Amino acid sequence: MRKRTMAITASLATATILIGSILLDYSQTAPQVDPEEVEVGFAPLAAESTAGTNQTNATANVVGSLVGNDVDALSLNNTNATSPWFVKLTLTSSNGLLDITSAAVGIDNGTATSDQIVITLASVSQSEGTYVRLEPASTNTIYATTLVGGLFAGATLDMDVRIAEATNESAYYDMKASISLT
Amino acid sequence: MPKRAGRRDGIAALSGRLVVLGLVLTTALTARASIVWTSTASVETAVVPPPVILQEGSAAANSRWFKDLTITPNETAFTGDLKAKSGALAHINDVIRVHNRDDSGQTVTFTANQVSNPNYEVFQWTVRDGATVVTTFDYTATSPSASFAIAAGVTYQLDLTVDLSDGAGKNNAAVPFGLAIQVS
Repeated sequence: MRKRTMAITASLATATILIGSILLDYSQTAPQVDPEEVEVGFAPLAAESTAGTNQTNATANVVGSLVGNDVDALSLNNTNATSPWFVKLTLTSSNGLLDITSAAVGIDNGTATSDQIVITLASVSQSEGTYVRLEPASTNTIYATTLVGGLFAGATLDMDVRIAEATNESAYYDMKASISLT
Repeated sequence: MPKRAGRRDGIAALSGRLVVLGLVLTTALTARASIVWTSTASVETAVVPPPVILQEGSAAANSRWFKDLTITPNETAFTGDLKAKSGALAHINDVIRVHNRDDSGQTVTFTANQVSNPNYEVFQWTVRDGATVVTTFDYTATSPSASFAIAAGVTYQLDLTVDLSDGAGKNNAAVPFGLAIQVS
């Protein structure tokens, strides 16, 4: 009787899969926003001034004077014990400038003053200031000086207050202030 | 022994052999039909790194704005906390970067869940190629999504803007802000 042996050889050296397009879907993790209070915020100084719920939305009232007046309207203290911040003001809207002879809103950081917004003869002559350094753990103020004519009926200056970690504005936060001149 | 009887015996013997042969063939055919074997073939798999990855921007390590913001080891996601400023609009440049390390251009799509907390007046990424804005991605949109093309070897930076309404307490507006990324 003849014996037959069947040899079966299976071979699969390489498997090639062609895919027309690939869509990679990365899984996302969950970073979180953790809101905190600002390190430089407003506090009221002048009468009838407010700082807002989060110390970021201030109002102040400054009485104009025929002979000139200089009032500290709001404080702007840096509560960071080790790092400075930088601040500047930018006028966003105004009204009632008629009969203002001269007015200025500026920042006093304890060693120098810097006029940021200037009004001369009823018109805005400077709408934006330059950065003022707020030293760590420092006390600073926003002041207003006014000289008005006899028919002055009141004015309002709305402004953005930008608090930056550096003067190149690599990171900053904006607050709002409104100063009424009466 | 008579001749006829001997012939009968021979026929009987032959018939028996044929029956046996038939059984053997049947068995052989049955055996052939039930042959089973296991292939030893193998398929190799390899993990290819993603063509588009995330990188930390210059602000990622800034403790004024972030707590433990880090890119995951496979460079496809990030973790950490953003220290938003209650009642203020915060803007931070160069938080994370998107880099195409492939040899060909890619299309990147960002998606995320909507941030519906009304305290968030603005919450968006701005994708920038130098000074040029490539696109923006708004978390407050109904279905946040943004797609953009990125050429081979190019890196874009992502700036973050968050405006929290006045009155938003520091503990009442915490939200996740994940970012799902698709590359095609």
